[in-house]
Amino acid sequence: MNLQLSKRKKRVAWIILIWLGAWAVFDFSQPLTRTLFLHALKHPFLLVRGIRREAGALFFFHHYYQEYQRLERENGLLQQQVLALEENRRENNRLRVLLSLKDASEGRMIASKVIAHPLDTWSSGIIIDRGSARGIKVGMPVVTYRGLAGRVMETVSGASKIMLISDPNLGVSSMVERSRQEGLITGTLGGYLTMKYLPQGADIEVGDTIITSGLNGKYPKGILIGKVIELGTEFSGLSRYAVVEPAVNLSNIEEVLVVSQ
Amino acid sequence: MKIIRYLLLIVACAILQAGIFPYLKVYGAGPDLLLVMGGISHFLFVWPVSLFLSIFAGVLKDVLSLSGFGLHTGLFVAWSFCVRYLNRHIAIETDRLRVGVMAIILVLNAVITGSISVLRGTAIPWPRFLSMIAVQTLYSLLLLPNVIRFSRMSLTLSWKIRLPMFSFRKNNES
Repeated sequence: MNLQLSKRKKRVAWIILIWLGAWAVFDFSQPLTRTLFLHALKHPFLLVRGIRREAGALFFFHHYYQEYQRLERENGLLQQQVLALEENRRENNRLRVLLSLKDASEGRMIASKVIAHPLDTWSSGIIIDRGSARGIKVGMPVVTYRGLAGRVMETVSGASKIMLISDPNLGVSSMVERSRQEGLITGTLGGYLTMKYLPQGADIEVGDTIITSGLNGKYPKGILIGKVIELGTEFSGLSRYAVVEPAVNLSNIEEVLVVSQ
Repeated sequence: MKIIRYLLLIVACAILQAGIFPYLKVYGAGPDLLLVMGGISHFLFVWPVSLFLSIFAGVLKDVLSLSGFGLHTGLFVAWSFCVRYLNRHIAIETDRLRVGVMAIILVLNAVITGSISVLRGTAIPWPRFLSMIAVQTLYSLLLLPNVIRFSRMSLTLSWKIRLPMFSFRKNNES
Protein backbone atom coordinates (compact mmCIF):
# COMPACT_ATOMS: atom_id res chain seq x y z
CA MET A 1 0.00 0.00 0.00
CA ASN A 2 2.75 2.42 1.09
CA LEU A 3 4.89 1.37 -1.86
CA GLN A 4 1.99 2.08 -4.27
CA LEU A 5 1.40 5.48 -2.69
CA SER A 6 5.06 6.49 -2.97
CA LYS A 7 5.10 5.29 -6.60
CA ARG A 8 2.08 7.44 -7.35
CA LYS A 9 3.67 10.44 -5.60
CA LYS A 10 6.83 9.97 -7.63
CA ARG A 11 4.80 9.77 -10.82
CA VAL A 12 2.90 12.97 -10.02
CA ALA A 13 6.17 14.71 -9.12
CA TRP A 14 7.68 13.64 -12.44
CA ILE A 15 4.65 14.88 -14.38
CA ILE A 16 4.81 18.26 -12.61
CA LEU A 17 8.56 18.50 -13.25
CA ILE A 18 8.19 17.65 -16.95
CA TRP A 19 5.27 20.09 -17.26
CA LEU A 20 7.26 22.91 -15.61
CA GLY A 21 10.28 22.15 -17.79
CA ALA A 22 8.18 22.13 -20.95
CA TRP A 23 6.57 25.40 -19.90
CA ALA A 24 9.98 27.03 -19.24
CA VAL A 25 11.33 25.88 -22.64
CA PHE A 26 8.11 27.05 -24.31
CA ASP A 27 8.24 30.47 -22.66
CA PHE A 28 11.96 30.88 -23.39
CA SER A 29 11.53 30.00 -27.08
CA GLN A 30 8.49 32.27 -27.50
CA PRO A 31 10.16 35.16 -29.45
CA LEU A 32 12.01 32.72 -31.70
CA THR A 33 8.85 30.68 -32.39
CA ARG A 34 6.88 33.79 -33.26
CA THR A 35 9.58 35.16 -35.58
CA LEU A 36 10.05 31.79 -37.30
CA PHE A 37 6.37 31.09 -37.88
CA LEU A 38 5.46 34.64 -38.90
CA HIS A 39 8.37 34.76 -41.36
CA ALA A 40 7.47 31.38 -42.82
CA LEU A 41 3.77 32.25 -43.16
CA LYS A 42 4.21 35.77 -44.51
CA HIS A 43 4.54 34.75 -48.17
CA PRO A 44 1.65 32.23 -48.19
CA PHE A 45 -0.49 34.94 -46.56
CA LEU A 46 0.50 37.42 -49.29
CA LEU A 47 -0.36 34.79 -51.94
CA VAL A 48 -3.79 34.12 -50.39
CA ARG A 49 -4.38 37.88 -50.15
CA GLY A 50 -3.59 38.27 -53.86
CA ILE A 51 -5.91 35.41 -54.84
CA ARG A 52 -8.71 36.76 -52.66
CA ARG A 53 -8.35 40.24 -54.16
CA GLU A 54 -8.36 38.96 -57.73
CA ALA A 55 -11.37 36.72 -57.06
CA GLY A 56 -13.16 39.67 -55.46
CA ALA A 57 -12.32 41.89 -58.44
CA LEU A 58 -13.83 39.36 -60.84
CA PHE A 59 -16.86 38.69 -58.67
CA PHE A 60 -17.70 42.36 -57.97
CA PHE A 61 -16.59 43.74 -61.35
CA HIS A 62 -19.77 45.76 -62.00
CA HIS A 63 -19.83 47.21 -58.48
CA TYR A 64 -16.15 48.24 -58.74
CA TYR A 65 -16.72 49.82 -62.17
CA GLN A 66 -19.54 51.99 -60.82
CA GLU A 67 -17.42 52.86 -57.79
CA TYR A 68 -14.52 53.82 -60.09
CA GLN A 69 -16.72 56.22 -62.07
CA ARG A 70 -18.04 57.83 -58.88
CA LEU A 71 -14.51 58.20 -57.48
CA GLU A 72 -13.27 59.74 -60.72
CA ARG A 73 -15.90 62.47 -60.41
CA GLU A 74 -15.06 62.94 -56.72
CA ASN A 75 -11.35 63.08 -57.54
CA GLY A 76 -11.88 66.06 -59.86
CA LEU A 77 -13.66 67.97 -57.11
CA LEU A 78 -11.07 67.04 -54.50
CA GLN A 79 -8.17 68.16 -56.68
CA GLN A 80 -9.66 71.66 -56.73
CA GLN A 81 -10.04 71.57 -52.95
CA VAL A 82 -6.44 70.36 -52.53
CA LEU A 83 -5.16 73.35 -54.47
CA ALA A 84 -7.11 75.70 -52.21
CA LEU A 85 -5.90 73.89 -49.08
CA GLU A 86 -2.29 73.95 -50.28
CA GLU A 87 -2.52 77.71 -50.43
CA ASN A 88 -3.91 77.75 -46.89
CA ARG A 89 -1.09 75.46 -45.68
CA ARG A 90 1.58 77.72 -47.09
CA GLU A 91 -0.05 80.72 -45.46
CA ASN A 92 -0.30 78.77 -42.19
CA ASN A 93 3.40 77.88 -42.32
CA ARG A 94 4.36 81.49 -42.91
CA LEU A 95 2.25 82.58 -39.93
CA ARG A 96 3.75 79.81 -37.73
CA VAL A 97 7.23 81.02 -38.50
CA LEU A 98 6.14 84.54 -37.69
CA LEU A 99 4.67 83.41 -34.38
CA SER A 100 7.76 81.22 -33.62
CA LEU A 101 5.54 78.28 -32.84
CA LYS A 102 6.98 74.79 -32.61
CA ASP A 103 6.42 73.03 -35.91
CA ALA A 104 3.94 70.30 -35.33
CA SER A 105 5.07 68.36 -38.37
CA GLU A 106 3.24 65.21 -39.47
CA GLY A 107 4.73 61.93 -38.31
CA ARG A 108 6.59 59.62 -40.66
CA MET A 109 4.18 57.09 -42.10
CA ILE A 110 5.05 53.48 -42.93
CA ALA A 111 2.66 52.04 -45.49
CA SER A 112 1.84 48.34 -44.97
CA LYS A 113 -0.42 45.69 -46.44
CA VAL A 114 -2.80 43.67 -44.29
CA ILE A 115 -1.82 40.02 -44.80
CA ALA A 116 -3.97 38.20 -42.25
CA HIS A 117 -6.19 38.46 -39.20
CA PRO A 118 -5.36 37.02 -35.76
CA LEU A 119 -7.07 33.73 -34.99
CA ASP A 120 -8.61 34.42 -31.58
CA THR A 121 -12.33 35.10 -31.47
CA TRP A 122 -12.27 37.41 -28.46
CA SER A 123 -10.08 40.14 -29.87
CA SER A 124 -10.02 42.22 -33.00
CA GLY A 125 -6.84 42.76 -34.95
CA ILE A 126 -4.84 42.48 -38.14
CA ILE A 127 -1.36 41.26 -39.15
CA ILE A 128 0.66 43.53 -41.46
CA ASP A 129 3.67 42.81 -43.66
CA ARG A 130 6.06 45.37 -42.11
CA GLY A 131 7.88 44.95 -38.82
CA SER A 132 10.73 46.15 -36.64
CA ALA A 133 13.11 46.04 -39.64
CA ARG A 134 11.18 49.01 -41.06
CA GLY A 135 11.19 50.90 -37.77
CA ILE A 136 7.82 49.78 -36.44
CA LYS A 137 7.69 49.62 -32.64
CA VAL A 138 5.12 48.45 -30.11
CA GLY A 139 2.61 51.17 -29.21
CA MET A 140 2.72 53.10 -32.50
CA PRO A 141 -0.69 54.32 -33.74
CA VAL A 142 -2.06 52.85 -36.96
CA VAL A 143 -4.29 54.83 -39.34
CA THR A 144 -5.86 54.50 -42.76
CA TYR A 145 -6.68 57.35 -45.11
CA ARG A 146 -10.13 57.48 -43.47
CA GLY A 147 -9.07 57.65 -39.82
CA LEU A 148 -7.75 55.82 -36.78
CA ALA A 149 -7.48 52.02 -37.10
CA GLY A 150 -5.60 50.80 -34.03
CA ARG A 151 -2.25 50.32 -32.35
CA VAL A 152 0.82 48.07 -32.77
CA MET A 153 0.80 45.29 -30.16
CA GLU A 154 3.64 43.02 -31.27
CA THR A 155 6.33 43.23 -33.87
CA VAL A 156 8.95 40.91 -35.35
CA SER A 157 11.37 41.89 -38.12
CA GLY A 158 9.01 41.20 -41.04
CA ALA A 159 5.50 41.46 -39.60
CA SER A 160 3.47 43.17 -36.88
CA LYS A 161 0.23 42.52 -35.05
CA ILE A 162 -2.19 45.42 -34.72
CA MET A 163 -5.02 45.66 -32.21
CA LEU A 164 -7.95 47.41 -33.86
CA ILE A 165 -10.08 50.06 -32.13
CA SER A 166 -13.00 47.61 -32.24
CA ASP A 167 -11.19 45.47 -29.62
CA PRO A 168 -12.66 45.99 -26.13
CA ASN A 169 -9.12 45.96 -24.64
CA LEU A 170 -8.07 49.11 -26.49
CA GLY A 171 -9.04 52.48 -25.02
CA VAL A 172 -8.54 55.69 -26.98
CA SER A 173 -8.87 59.08 -25.31
CA SER A 174 -11.12 61.06 -27.58
CA MET A 175 -13.24 64.18 -27.83
CA VAL A 176 -16.20 65.64 -29.70
CA GLU A 177 -14.82 67.86 -32.46
CA ARG A 178 -17.59 70.47 -32.08
CA SER A 179 -17.80 70.89 -28.30
CA ARG A 180 -14.37 69.47 -27.21
CA GLN A 181 -16.19 67.16 -24.77
CA GLU A 182 -13.78 64.38 -23.77
CA GLY A 183 -14.45 60.67 -23.33
CA LEU A 184 -12.95 57.22 -23.81
CA ILE A 185 -13.54 55.18 -26.95
CA THR A 186 -13.56 51.39 -26.58
CA GLY A 187 -14.54 48.58 -28.93
CA THR A 188 -17.38 46.09 -28.62
CA LEU A 189 -16.04 43.36 -30.98
CA GLY A 190 -18.88 44.38 -33.28
CA GLY A 191 -19.23 47.03 -35.95
CA TYR A 192 -19.62 49.96 -33.54
CA LEU A 193 -17.53 51.66 -30.84
CA THR A 194 -18.63 53.08 -27.48
CA MET A 195 -17.63 56.46 -26.09
CA LYS A 196 -17.76 56.14 -22.30
CA TYR A 197 -17.45 58.35 -19.20
CA LEU A 198 -19.52 61.24 -20.55
CA PRO A 199 -21.06 63.36 -17.76
CA GLN A 200 -24.86 63.78 -17.64
CA GLY A 201 -24.66 67.32 -19.02
CA ALA A 202 -22.18 66.48 -21.78
CA ASP A 203 -22.49 68.56 -24.93
CA ILE A 204 -22.79 65.76 -27.46
CA GLU A 205 -25.37 65.10 -30.18
CA VAL A 206 -26.15 62.45 -32.76
CA GLY A 207 -24.07 63.19 -35.86
CA ASP A 208 -21.14 64.72 -33.95
CA THR A 209 -17.65 63.87 -35.20
CA ILE A 210 -15.30 62.15 -32.73
CA ILE A 211 -11.54 62.69 -32.96
CA THR A 212 -8.52 61.67 -30.85
CA SER A 213 -7.83 64.10 -28.00
CA GLY A 214 -4.09 63.37 -27.80
CA LEU A 215 -4.45 63.48 -24.01
CA ASN A 216 -2.19 60.57 -22.98
CA GLY A 217 0.26 61.07 -25.83
CA LYS A 218 -0.37 57.62 -27.33
CA TYR A 219 -2.22 58.97 -30.36
CA PRO A 220 -1.65 62.24 -32.18
CA LYS A 221 -4.39 64.80 -31.63
CA GLY A 222 -7.13 65.25 -34.23
CA ILE A 223 -7.26 61.85 -35.95
CA LEU A 224 -10.80 61.06 -37.08
CA ILE A 225 -12.43 58.15 -35.20
CA GLY A 226 -16.06 58.23 -36.30
CA LYS A 227 -19.55 59.73 -35.95
CA VAL A 228 -22.06 59.50 -33.08
CA ILE A 229 -25.13 57.50 -34.11
CA GLU A 230 -26.84 56.93 -30.75
CA LEU A 231 -26.79 58.32 -27.21
CA GLY A 232 -27.70 56.56 -23.98
CA THR A 233 -27.40 56.57 -20.20
CA GLU A 234 -25.25 54.02 -18.33
CA PHE A 235 -27.04 51.42 -16.18
CA SER A 236 -25.85 53.19 -13.00
CA GLY A 237 -27.45 56.44 -14.20
CA LEU A 238 -24.31 58.40 -13.31
CA SER A 239 -22.92 58.92 -16.78
CA ARG A 240 -23.85 58.74 -20.45
CA TYR A 241 -22.39 56.86 -23.38
CA ALA A 242 -22.40 57.35 -27.12
CA VAL A 243 -22.44 54.68 -29.83
CA VAL A 244 -19.95 55.66 -32.51
CA GLU A 245 -19.78 54.38 -36.07
CA PRO A 246 -16.07 54.11 -36.96
CA ALA A 247 -14.85 56.10 -39.97
CA VAL A 248 -12.68 53.14 -41.01
CA ASN A 249 -14.38 49.98 -42.27
CA LEU A 250 -12.62 47.76 -39.74
CA SER A 251 -13.86 44.48 -41.18
CA ASN A 252 -12.27 45.09 -44.56
CA ILE A 253 -8.93 46.90 -44.20
CA GLU A 254 -6.46 46.29 -47.02
CA GLU A 255 -3.69 48.85 -46.38
CA VAL A 256 -2.69 50.80 -43.29
CA LEU A 257 -0.21 53.51 -42.31
CA VAL A 258 1.85 53.17 -39.14
CA VAL A 259 2.61 56.57 -37.60
CA SER A 260 6.21 56.22 -36.49
CA GLN A 261 6.84 59.64 -34.95
CA MET B 1 5.12 10.90 -44.50
CA LYS B 2 1.52 11.01 -43.27
CA ILE B 3 2.58 13.18 -40.34
CA ILE B 4 4.25 15.68 -42.68
CA ARG B 5 1.13 15.75 -44.86
CA TYR B 6 -1.03 16.40 -41.80
CA LEU B 7 1.36 19.15 -40.59
CA LEU B 8 1.05 20.81 -44.00
CA LEU B 9 -2.73 20.49 -43.74
CA ILE B 10 -2.63 22.23 -40.34
CA VAL B 11 -0.56 25.06 -41.85
CA ALA B 12 -3.01 25.32 -44.77
CA CYS B 13 -5.90 25.53 -42.31
CA ALA B 14 -4.10 28.28 -40.37
CA ILE B 15 -3.63 30.24 -43.59
CA LEU B 16 -7.30 29.76 -44.51
CA GLN B 17 -8.48 30.71 -41.03
CA ALA B 18 -6.33 33.86 -40.94
CA GLY B 19 -6.54 34.87 -44.59
CA ILE B 20 -9.98 33.90 -45.90
CA PHE B 21 -12.43 33.23 -43.06
CA PRO B 22 -12.17 36.72 -41.46
CA TYR B 23 -14.04 37.89 -44.57
CA LEU B 24 -16.67 35.15 -44.20
CA LYS B 25 -17.58 35.79 -40.58
CA VAL B 26 -21.12 35.32 -39.33
CA TYR B 27 -22.12 37.61 -36.42
CA GLY B 28 -18.44 38.37 -35.85
CA ALA B 29 -17.41 34.73 -35.44
CA GLY B 30 -15.58 32.37 -37.75
CA PRO B 31 -14.74 28.65 -37.59
CA ASP B 32 -11.88 27.35 -35.45
CA LEU B 33 -10.19 25.16 -38.05
CA LEU B 34 -7.00 24.69 -36.03
CA LEU B 35 -8.93 23.28 -33.07
CA VAL B 36 -10.80 20.99 -35.46
CA MET B 37 -7.49 19.81 -36.95
CA GLY B 38 -5.98 19.32 -33.50
CA GLY B 39 -9.09 17.46 -32.35
CA ILE B 40 -9.53 15.09 -35.29
CA SER B 41 -5.83 14.16 -35.21
CA HIS B 42 -6.80 11.84 -32.32
CA PHE B 43 -9.09 9.90 -34.63
CA LEU B 44 -6.50 9.63 -37.41
CA PHE B 45 -3.23 9.02 -35.54
CA VAL B 46 -2.03 7.08 -32.51
CA TRP B 47 -1.62 8.80 -29.14
CA PRO B 48 1.85 10.40 -28.96
CA VAL B 49 1.69 11.49 -32.60
CA SER B 50 -1.74 13.08 -32.15
CA LEU B 51 -0.46 14.93 -29.06
CA PHE B 52 2.45 16.31 -31.08
CA LEU B 53 0.08 17.39 -33.87
CA SER B 54 -2.22 19.07 -31.33
CA ILE B 55 0.74 20.95 -29.84
CA PHE B 56 1.78 22.09 -33.32
CA ALA B 57 -1.75 23.36 -34.04
CA GLY B 58 -1.83 25.10 -30.64
CA VAL B 59 1.54 26.79 -31.15
CA LEU B 60 0.43 27.96 -34.60
CA LYS B 61 -2.77 29.41 -33.10
CA ASP B 62 -0.77 31.14 -30.35
CA VAL B 63 1.63 32.65 -32.88
CA LEU B 64 -1.27 34.06 -34.89
CA SER B 65 -3.26 35.33 -31.89
CA LEU B 66 -3.33 38.55 -29.92
CA SER B 67 -3.96 36.80 -26.59
CA GLY B 68 -1.20 35.60 -24.26
CA PHE B 69 1.27 33.10 -25.70
CA GLY B 70 0.67 29.52 -24.55
CA LEU B 71 -3.06 29.71 -23.86
CA HIS B 72 -4.15 27.79 -26.94
CA THR B 73 -1.25 25.31 -26.77
CA GLY B 74 -2.18 24.55 -23.17
CA LEU B 75 -5.83 24.07 -24.04
CA PHE B 76 -5.08 21.88 -27.07
CA VAL B 77 -2.88 19.63 -24.90
CA ALA B 78 -5.67 19.45 -22.31
CA TRP B 79 -8.18 18.39 -25.02
CA SER B 80 -5.68 15.75 -26.16
CA PHE B 81 -5.57 14.21 -22.70
CA CYS B 82 -9.37 14.44 -22.40
CA VAL B 83 -9.94 12.60 -25.71
CA ARG B 84 -7.39 9.97 -24.71
CA TYR B 85 -9.13 9.51 -21.34
CA LEU B 86 -12.53 9.28 -23.06
CA ASN B 87 -11.22 6.83 -25.64
CA ARG B 88 -10.09 4.51 -22.85
CA HIS B 89 -13.62 4.36 -21.43
CA ILE B 90 -15.77 4.66 -24.55
CA ALA B 91 -14.78 3.47 -27.99
CA ILE B 92 -15.05 6.62 -30.13
CA GLU B 93 -15.33 4.71 -33.37
CA THR B 94 -18.35 6.07 -35.24
CA ASP B 95 -18.33 9.42 -37.04
CA ARG B 96 -21.42 10.60 -35.11
CA LEU B 97 -19.66 10.05 -31.81
CA ARG B 98 -16.58 11.86 -33.11
CA VAL B 99 -18.68 14.84 -34.17
CA GLY B 100 -20.29 14.80 -30.71
CA VAL B 101 -16.91 14.80 -28.97
CA MET B 102 -15.69 17.62 -31.24
CA ALA B 103 -18.85 19.63 -30.52
CA ILE B 104 -18.20 19.38 -26.76
CA ILE B 105 -14.54 20.37 -27.25
CA LEU B 106 -15.50 23.34 -29.47
CA VAL B 107 -18.08 24.65 -26.98
CA LEU B 108 -15.79 24.21 -23.95
CA ASN B 109 -12.84 25.80 -25.77
CA ALA B 110 -14.92 28.83 -26.77
CA VAL B 111 -16.37 29.18 -23.25
CA ILE B 112 -12.92 28.90 -21.59
CA THR B 113 -11.13 31.33 -23.94
CA GLY B 114 -14.07 33.75 -23.75
CA SER B 115 -14.19 33.57 -19.95
CA ILE B 116 -10.42 34.14 -19.70
CA SER B 117 -10.82 37.15 -21.96
CA VAL B 118 -13.64 38.51 -19.76
CA LEU B 119 -11.64 37.85 -16.56
CA ARG B 120 -8.72 39.78 -18.07
CA GLY B 121 -11.00 42.81 -18.32
CA THR B 122 -12.52 42.59 -21.80
CA ALA B 123 -16.05 43.97 -21.58
CA ILE B 124 -18.22 41.80 -23.83
CA PRO B 125 -22.01 42.04 -23.50
CA TRP B 126 -23.62 38.70 -22.48
CA PRO B 127 -25.82 38.32 -25.60
CA ARG B 128 -22.78 38.87 -27.81
CA PHE B 129 -20.68 36.45 -25.73
CA LEU B 130 -23.26 33.68 -26.05
CA SER B 131 -24.03 34.31 -29.70
CA MET B 132 -20.33 34.22 -30.60
CA ILE B 133 -19.87 30.88 -28.80
CA ALA B 134 -22.92 29.43 -30.55
CA VAL B 135 -21.99 30.73 -34.00
CA GLN B 136 -18.34 29.68 -33.75
CA THR B 137 -19.29 26.16 -32.66
CA LEU B 138 -21.97 25.72 -35.31
CA TYR B 139 -19.73 27.16 -38.04
CA SER B 140 -16.88 24.80 -37.08
CA LEU B 141 -19.26 21.83 -36.88
CA LEU B 142 -20.64 22.68 -40.30
CA LEU B 143 -17.15 22.46 -41.77
CA LEU B 144 -16.09 19.46 -39.66
CA PRO B 145 -17.33 16.64 -42.00
CA ASN B 146 -15.57 18.25 -44.95
CA VAL B 147 -12.37 18.77 -42.96
CA ILE B 148 -12.42 15.09 -41.87
CA ARG B 149 -13.14 13.94 -45.42
CA PHE B 150 -10.39 16.12 -46.90
CA SER B 151 -7.88 15.07 -44.22
CA ARG B 152 -8.58 11.36 -44.82
CA MET B 153 -8.39 11.88 -48.57
CA SER B 154 -5.07 13.71 -48.42
CA LEU B 155 -3.60 11.17 -46.01
CA THR B 156 -4.47 8.27 -48.30
CA LEU B 157 -3.64 10.13 -51.52
CA SER B 158 -1.06 8.40 -53.67
CA TRP B 159 1.56 10.48 -55.46
CA LYS B 160 1.64 8.01 -58.38
CA ILE B 161 -0.91 9.35 -60.81
CA ARG B 162 -2.11 6.81 -63.33
CA LEU B 163 -3.24 8.28 -66.60
CA PRO B 164 -6.40 6.64 -68.02
CA MET B 165 -4.77 6.41 -71.47
CA PHE B 166 -2.07 4.06 -70.19
CA SER B 167 -4.46 1.92 -68.24
CA PHE B 168 -6.61 1.56 -71.39
CA ARG B 169 -3.60 0.32 -73.34
CA LYS B 170 -2.75 -2.08 -70.59
CA ASN B 171 -6.27 -3.46 -70.64
CA ASN B 172 -6.13 -3.94 -74.39
CA GLU B 173 -2.83 -5.76 -74.17
CA SER B 174 -4.23 -8.11 -71.61
